[in-house]
Amino acid sequence: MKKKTNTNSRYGFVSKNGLKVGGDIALSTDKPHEQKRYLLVKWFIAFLSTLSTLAITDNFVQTHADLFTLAFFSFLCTFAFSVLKSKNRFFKMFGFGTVVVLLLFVLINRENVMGGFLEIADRYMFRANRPDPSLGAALRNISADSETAISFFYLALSVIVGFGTSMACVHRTDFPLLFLFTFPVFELGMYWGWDALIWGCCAVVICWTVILSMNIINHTTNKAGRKKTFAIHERKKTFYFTSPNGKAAFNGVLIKFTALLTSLVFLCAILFSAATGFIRPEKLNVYRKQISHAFENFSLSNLFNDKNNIHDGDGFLGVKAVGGTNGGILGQTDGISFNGSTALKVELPKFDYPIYLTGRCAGEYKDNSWQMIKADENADYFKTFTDKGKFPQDLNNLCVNEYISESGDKLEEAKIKVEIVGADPKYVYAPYGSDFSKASENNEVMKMCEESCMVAQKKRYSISFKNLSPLFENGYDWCDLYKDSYYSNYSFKQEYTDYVNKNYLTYRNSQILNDAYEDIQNNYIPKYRTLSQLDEFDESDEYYEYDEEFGRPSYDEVYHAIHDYFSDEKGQGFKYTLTPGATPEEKDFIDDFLTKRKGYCSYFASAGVELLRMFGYPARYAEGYIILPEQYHEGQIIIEDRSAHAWAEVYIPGKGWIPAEFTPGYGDGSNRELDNKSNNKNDNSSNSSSRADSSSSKNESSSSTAESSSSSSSETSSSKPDSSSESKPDNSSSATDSSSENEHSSAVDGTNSQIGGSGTTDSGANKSKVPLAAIMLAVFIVASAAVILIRRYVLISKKKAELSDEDQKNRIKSIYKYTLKYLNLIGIFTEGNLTDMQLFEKIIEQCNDKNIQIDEVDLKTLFEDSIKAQMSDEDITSDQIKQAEFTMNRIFERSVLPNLSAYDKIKAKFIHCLY
Amino acid sequence: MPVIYLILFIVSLFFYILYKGVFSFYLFAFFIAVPIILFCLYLYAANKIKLSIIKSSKIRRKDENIPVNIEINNPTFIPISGMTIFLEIYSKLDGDKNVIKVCTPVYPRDKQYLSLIVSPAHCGGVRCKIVKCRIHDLLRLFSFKIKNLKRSPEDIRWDFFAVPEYIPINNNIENSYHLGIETDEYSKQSKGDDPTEIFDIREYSAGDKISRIHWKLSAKQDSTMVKDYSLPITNSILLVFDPCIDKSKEGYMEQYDALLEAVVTISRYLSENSTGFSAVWFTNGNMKLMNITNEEECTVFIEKLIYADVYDSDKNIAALLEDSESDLACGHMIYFSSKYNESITAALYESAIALKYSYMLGMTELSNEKITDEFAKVYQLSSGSVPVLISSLNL
Repeated sequence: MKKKTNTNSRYGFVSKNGLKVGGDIALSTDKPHEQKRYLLVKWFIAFLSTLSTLAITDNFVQTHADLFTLAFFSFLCTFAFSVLKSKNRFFKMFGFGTVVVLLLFVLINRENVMGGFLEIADRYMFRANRPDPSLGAALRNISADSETAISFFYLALSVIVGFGTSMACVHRTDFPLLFLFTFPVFELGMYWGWDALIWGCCAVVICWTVILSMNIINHTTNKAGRKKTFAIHERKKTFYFTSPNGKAAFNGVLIKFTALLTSLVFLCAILFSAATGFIRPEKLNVYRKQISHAFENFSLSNLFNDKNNIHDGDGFLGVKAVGGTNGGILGQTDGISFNGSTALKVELPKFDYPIYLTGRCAGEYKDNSWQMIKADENADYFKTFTDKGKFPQDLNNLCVNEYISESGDKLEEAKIKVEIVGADPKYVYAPYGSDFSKASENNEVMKMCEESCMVAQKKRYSISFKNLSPLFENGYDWCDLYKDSYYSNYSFKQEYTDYVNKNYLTYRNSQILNDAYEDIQNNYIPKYRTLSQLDEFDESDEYYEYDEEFGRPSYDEVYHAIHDYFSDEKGQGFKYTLTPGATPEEKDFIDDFLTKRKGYCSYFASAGVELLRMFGYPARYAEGYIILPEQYHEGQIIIEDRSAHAWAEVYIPGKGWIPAEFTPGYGDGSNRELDNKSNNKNDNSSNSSSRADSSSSKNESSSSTAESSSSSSSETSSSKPDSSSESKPDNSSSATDSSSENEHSSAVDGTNSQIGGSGTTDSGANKSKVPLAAIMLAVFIVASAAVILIRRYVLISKKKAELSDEDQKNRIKSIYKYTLKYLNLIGIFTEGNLTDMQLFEKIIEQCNDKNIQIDEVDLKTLFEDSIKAQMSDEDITSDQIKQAEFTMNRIFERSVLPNLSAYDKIKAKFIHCLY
Repeated sequence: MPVIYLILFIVSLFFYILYKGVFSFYLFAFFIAVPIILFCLYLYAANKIKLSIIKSSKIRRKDENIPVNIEINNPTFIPISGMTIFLEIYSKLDGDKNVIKVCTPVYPRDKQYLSLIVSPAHCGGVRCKIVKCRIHDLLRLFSFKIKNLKRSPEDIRWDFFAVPEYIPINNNIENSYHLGIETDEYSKQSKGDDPTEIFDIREYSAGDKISRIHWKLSAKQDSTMVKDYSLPITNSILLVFDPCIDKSKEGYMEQYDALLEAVVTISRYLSENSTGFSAVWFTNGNMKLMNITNEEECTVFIEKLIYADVYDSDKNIAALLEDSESDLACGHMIYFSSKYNESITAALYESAIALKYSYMLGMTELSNEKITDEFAKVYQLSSGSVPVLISSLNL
């Protein structure tokens, strides 16, 4: 049995015919491959990954920590943990001592560390727009200065991460461990889509790749027989490379290659991006939006629900929305978001008024959705259009064609070219006054869809429309069209008006809706009756008078009353938000909105339609895009998803269907989503956008809304009491106007303004951090220097004592020992299971290989004397001692010193303490 | 790894779509570029790396630790973190193929040598061949075959022949001349009685025959000179190596070892003693004949036994008997085989190839029952004790 065991240990593999294959394989190379500085390289990877992790954390939570401080913390922790693996006892003890000191330091200052953690958690949650009041409350209990506490937290974090990275890179080669300690920070920021610290993230990925490449080799060779060069896995009949020294030598080469390769790849990507400006194709934004919607709308319960396919079902993942909203389905999701993707590309002549590009119109409110009213092609009203070769959709065009000014001028005809990119390609997006029938004649693939919108089969089309710019010359809005000097000569046939009155005046019987109606009737309508301006309008146009015939106030009164009802900051007010939350299943969408008083354009438009109908004005719900005059420029105008909008349309005989804007921030030709985007940009740079300025200056309602919602922002940031008061009004406006992603970004801006906006605060923070780091560094350097010097003093003294020992035998043994140590400095191998004379021959051989001149005879004499001193009873003479000392000094001065680099000399002096 | 990488790639793609920051592009570009670059680099390396087996002496002793040295030359700058060498070790005797894999890193711009120790427990031919070699990239995404293997098939193969250790014997070598076989060859070591050839001329010493005095030379030299006659020697020993191994029987390898041990021992002994002999073996059923007169020729003969037929075939003995009247006539025929029956010895006897027959019978293990044969003396051989068992053999 014993014999068998011995055989197995000698032979790795024995075939059935008795052919034996040795248990190890000798590996040799032509060129020497040393494992020098392998530990140092591995430590550097640990250091880099720790520093990157800390820097990424700092970048995400925007604490503006000093990079030097972070580097120092990373260095200290990784060095301390790494040197525990060193064979050098001094380094090992030093590392152990440092680790103990660090842990004690963190433990003693645990309150500060906890404070720092809370501070950072609070900043993180605030930036993520998930402020947690409990964090704020906990923070108030922390007595330490926040910046100091953050510094302590970074120290504690560097201890944790440094431990993990050192274990993963130095003590083991363990990619999962490295990933475990570095990825969470990476992910925490990326989750919210925050801008990443490029160098930090690239460095982390490079470290991952390097360790992974080594881990892969390690994994397959982590078998028995680790002390051999190769060890066999008997079942697999496979020899794996297991030599630790061999691995160290090869990994040294591999690390350099992998790090260089991955760095070059990143560098190329960065240079390519910098040279071409390419980051992402436009189409990706569309996919982004679609995927986002798919994730946001996904739920198991809705998976097989028809309603989940909310946008007529032909979008990717079933979530394509008309105009980027929700295709007439209301309250199904918690909210909507914009990602800046391109929805449409349009080309049109210069215009001075907000152009509504209507995509889909619907008049029947049912089951929390707006559905289109079916067209009856045989009805009389329909024939009034078809008889003339027109569609009912051409109504506005027919009206506008007849607009004539007092001087007899007609409106100019213009052409709009539209390319559908990210918007639902099913619908034709066209401005008011478009001639659909003419476009259809011009071979544009365009069909009538019920009676309220058009369906296009092509993604690119052009359509004629009347440029209404002259009507808006005096700062009028859509509601003021009637006051213009242009008058329509077009007379409707009563059939269409009857049809409209029959289908577009019905509203739901709801107590909440009735209460709103009463509120407007009692509190907002009279206000206009007292306005002197109103009198002027009363005289100029019948629609500004109280309509005795129908028993309704004038449209102007009604429109402004409803608009003010939604925007009134003095009353209970309505809040514009992109995340109002889904409507509960049993509740009506409009009732829920009027109760919760928050929502986005679809909410305001839907409620507006119902209220208009209650006041006796036929109205319907429209979705599409809005283009502002500020967006105009020569060539193609890119319309982003931020321009998506929903509004109400009101029917005015003689004028047709005209938009009625009730969404706060959209009146008078503005778009709050674009304003927010612009403001966000302004926050990041000192250059302010002229468009944003103009829109904010002329848009009274927008600013009032901003003011109204600033209170909600201060509520949101209640955990940070001073933040709102410190924010500049512009910032607070932008911060408070938005919600969902906008709230995220504005909250970030708010954080920015709070943290980075004030130069004094920031520099003050740095001032408070730098001395702490500097003091700690200074203490570390002094302590290290002291330890090194004391150790040097002790070892030199010991050497002197040994070399002047009165016992001649001991003295010559010491001379022999130190001679070998000197030779070690120049890489001469002096260890191994060799006799002294074998060692002598080995040394001479190595010296010859390295072209190092050495006195062979003297060295041999020293070896022989040393053997004599150790083995023989013969006495050592003083001449022999002198000769030995002479040999040692000569070897050191002539053979060793000239072959030492500056670094080696420092090492010899302060680490090995040999001279 | 490819699956994991694919997952990571998909994740990075989603990250690129969903995350608008520039880092998503860098990461995505990284995930696209890295496999492409690795593919190109390692494909290039696979074309450039050369493997070969360093060949050394073909004749090896059984149980010797034989180093199989593989040279890997990587002239590229690319370190190969994983190279898998598939080394086939094929034993010709039993046809057993063992493929051993060696996973090794390969240094860039360097030659490295792997020395694998192989030790055959039985005699016979062994072939070491690199049948396949693959390299993996550093992330183990791709695997490439080393192209060089097909280009130089001779460099990746090494055959050697494991022979038993030679133990000297001291058997009597008979001169077949006395048996009446004529010859033109004379011994260079020993003098004889054939007056047709003078072996040596020397001064007279007491006891020399008067008839041997070279009178003419004595007169010229002024000293009595005598002449020694040469000893005619007959190349009269024929070794026939026909193992006739039956693989179905247990211990056939031991039988082969015993036979090979016997043939090597006898042939070496004869060549050491400058006794010429002939040897016959069969390769693919074809009879091969070789005359051996010295040790070098003996070594060549042993090398050639690598290719000798090993298994039982009636054709071999038939071919031998057909050629019996030509070159094979000898004084003593020694037949090496593991197959025995009286009909074989009878046939040999009837063929009258030799004047004397010895039958070396390879045995699985030593038997106490001695085989007696009318026509040949049968020696029952067992591996490890051949010299003792053939000590009575009169060559």
